[in-house]
Amino acid sequence: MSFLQALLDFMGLGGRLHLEWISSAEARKFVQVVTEFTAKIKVLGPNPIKGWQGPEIPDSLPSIFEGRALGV
Amino acid sequence: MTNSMKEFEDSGCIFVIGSNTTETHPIIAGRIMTAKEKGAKLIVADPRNIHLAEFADIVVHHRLGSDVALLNGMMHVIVKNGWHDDKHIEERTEGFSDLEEVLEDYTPKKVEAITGVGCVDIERMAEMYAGNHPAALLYAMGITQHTTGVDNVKSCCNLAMLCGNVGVRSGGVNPLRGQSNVQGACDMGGLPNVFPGYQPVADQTANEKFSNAWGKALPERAGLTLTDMVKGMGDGRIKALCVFGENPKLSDPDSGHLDHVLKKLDFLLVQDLYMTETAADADVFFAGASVAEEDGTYTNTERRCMRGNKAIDPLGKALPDWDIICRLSSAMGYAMDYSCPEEIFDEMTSLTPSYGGMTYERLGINGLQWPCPGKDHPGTPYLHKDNFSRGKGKFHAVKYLDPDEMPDEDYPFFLTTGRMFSHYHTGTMTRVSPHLHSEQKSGYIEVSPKDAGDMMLNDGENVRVLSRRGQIEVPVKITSRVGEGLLFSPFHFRENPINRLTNPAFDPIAKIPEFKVCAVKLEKIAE
Amino acid sequence: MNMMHEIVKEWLEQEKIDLFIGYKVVDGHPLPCFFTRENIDDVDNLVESKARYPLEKIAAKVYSTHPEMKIGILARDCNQRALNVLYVWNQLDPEKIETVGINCCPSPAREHADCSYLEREPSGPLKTLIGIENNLKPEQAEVYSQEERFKRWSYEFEKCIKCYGCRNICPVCFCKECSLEHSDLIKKGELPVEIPIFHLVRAVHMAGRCIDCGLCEDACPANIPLRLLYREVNQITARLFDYRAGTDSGQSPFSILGENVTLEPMSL
Ligand code: SF4
Ligand code: SF4
Ligand code: SF4
Repeated sequence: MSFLQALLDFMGLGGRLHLEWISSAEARKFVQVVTEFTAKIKVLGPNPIKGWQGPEIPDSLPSIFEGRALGV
Repeated sequence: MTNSMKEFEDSGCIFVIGSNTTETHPIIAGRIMTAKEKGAKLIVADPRNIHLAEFADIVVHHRLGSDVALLNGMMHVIVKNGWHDDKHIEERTEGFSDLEEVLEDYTPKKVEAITGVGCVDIERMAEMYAGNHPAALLYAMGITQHTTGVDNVKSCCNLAMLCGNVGVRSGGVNPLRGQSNVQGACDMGGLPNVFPGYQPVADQTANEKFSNAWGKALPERAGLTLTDMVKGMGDGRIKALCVFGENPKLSDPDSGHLDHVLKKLDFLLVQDLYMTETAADADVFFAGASVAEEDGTYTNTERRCMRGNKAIDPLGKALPDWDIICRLSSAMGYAMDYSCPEEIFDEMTSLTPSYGGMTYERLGINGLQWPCPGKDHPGTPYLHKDNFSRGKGKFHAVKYLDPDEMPDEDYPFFLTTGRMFSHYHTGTMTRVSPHLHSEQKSGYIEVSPKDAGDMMLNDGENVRVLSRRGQIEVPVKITSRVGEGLLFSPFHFRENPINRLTNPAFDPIAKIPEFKVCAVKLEKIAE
Repeated sequence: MNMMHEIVKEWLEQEKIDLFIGYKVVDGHPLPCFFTRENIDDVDNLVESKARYPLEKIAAKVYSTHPEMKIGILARDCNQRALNVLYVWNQLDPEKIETVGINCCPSPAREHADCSYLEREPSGPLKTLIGIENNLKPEQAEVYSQEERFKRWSYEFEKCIKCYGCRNICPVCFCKECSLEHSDLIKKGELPVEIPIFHLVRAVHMAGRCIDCGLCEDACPANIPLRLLYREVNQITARLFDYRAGTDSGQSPFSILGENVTLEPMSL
């Protein structure tokens, strides 16, 4: 497994993305080469990134705050 | 703010209305998210689908300018269900019966018709706000910049008092102030009717106190608000204008008209960090010092007065702002010979009871929150703990009124204005920062996908926006942040000066213009 | 006067160093401070404290304009590791740096770090339910399914307000032009930031560099578990390239000098 695939796997994007490396014209100006070690992600198949619609906030949640409830 | 930022982390419920908090007050937004993670409930009411809404338990997009109706609707439900805090109302407030009478009318059904927010949502909001004590209410310019700005604020206070949320930790009514030191500027009497510490100029004792301290008989009549000044310039009563750190040519409503009246002045003085649009028209320009170049204090939104220490001496010919004002005053015949900001601060604290216990030494790094009346007073994290400044908190029975200008056949869209995260006001400071400028280089207008589709507009294409006051061209940004019939545009960009379109109609009491609502039409520009 | 003060004064007087960067308590807060020969008595105010700032980043800044200056630094274990990375990347010249070391990180002999880290509040229930807790170990964040991992990380990234605080405080983020501001890579002008590209790019850049000081996470107003993310990056780097940033002194596997500016990940 390549470095980036391992990282994507950790973030839950394992095996779903095709990666393409790009380099920028400015890259040479960078202090070191690694700064341009940057991935632009191309999507193959179902795209979980587009699928992200924001967090699902659950209805009930134990609060660690002890507030006064209704009618008390 | 009645309360402190840190306290929000322990709120039972946070109700955000008319504030795009993640973009405009990101650090407070961080507190809200922490509260949310700890189990607080979050209600977001905003005409736009803002970033913070992603985290909310309830999100509603009420129609622009319908805040009073929405809040009254919530209160109607609360009172109908007996969720209000009788004890608090009894002991701490007055005027409840008048409010109750007005609320009677605001049934969820009626409110739904005005605001576009469903009955069920209104009921859920009411239950959530009333049921998770203490609840903090946060608002920003989305509440105040209306012809009904004062009514909106009163309604917010009504709601908080109704549920016993005033004078409690982690509750309160919390206007998020828009500038680093706008709270301080108001505290220092930067308003037409008061001396420092909100001591009225018309109050004889206060007037005598300041007249004696400053060795000069001071006017007993309130001065003019900005809105009145524009009028005064128009009819020739005002002949000279000093502008300190403001860029009204971009930031005032109906800027076409402002351009016109500025030209009538005999003399215009502008003091700013950089040449602004307004400064370009000035007869004299004073270069002020930046935050890194001057000593002084700032009072932030939680009433915390903090010291700012200069890192370098002012560059070029710039001078610290206090020094410029002293020199100007001396040249005009009233000698001000302070040697340093601390001397000014000490004089101010001696005349301002709420700052009375503060000294530079005591401020240290953390600062102190007013009221801090005595040398040993630790400052006040939240206000109105035991009583209100006027004794009892007063409920104001407020009825809903339409905004001054509503869309019609000729101008079918609602337009609202505001800020985006990387820029600040007219961009005089942020647009000269390469990092911030690169985030957003030009103005834009947010259009809903549906409206863009109907008009066959493409993302990024220039569109003409017209109101009764003027027209501009601005690139389209297609986004679901706005709903059908609603447009939003930031006011930072001189290339796309959205305030040419906004409505100068103002609140009768606060005189704040209705930046947040006007009616416009869109025109596709033929190729 | 304690031993640290004696050493620093001696170094300054003997011109072993021209500048010492340490901490001084100002109004109850330990803050980074320069100590100089001209103002040598001030050295008595030098403190270890629990504060953590990227002092070596300040040193690198001084070095970039005054390469001849010899700089002393109060170095916790994390500062020392960061210095090593800065040497490897030619951001500082080891010849010009002297350190006064403070051993403070947790070790088998010592359970807690004697610094501001590890004093954080426990995560709230919502974070436990739909986010990623900050104090997890990378393995613990791998118990979730792929889909759930993505949701949990996306929730965390959603909170980002794009303040760039993580980058600005990071001792090993020193690029003149930062990819995070590159409009071809990351969409501009909007909140939330482009998920997950913004955080992914930074994570990738931390490979072979991040020295696990946690300053980014301390700085993050949204409390995103950045340290955990980069810890995983480090583990992958160690696994694939057998390289540990800050302790291994060789060039990082991610730096290839010369004309070949684009780095392909080695596939194993
Ligand atoms: S832990 Fe964060 S601040 Fe420290 S080196 Fe790694 S990325 Fe940079
Ligand atoms: S995020 Fe990447 S490009 Fe930006 S400063 Fe850090 S290492 Fe350099
Ligand atoms: S410090 Fe946190 S909020 Fe700021 S840019 Fe980094 S991840 Fe985003």
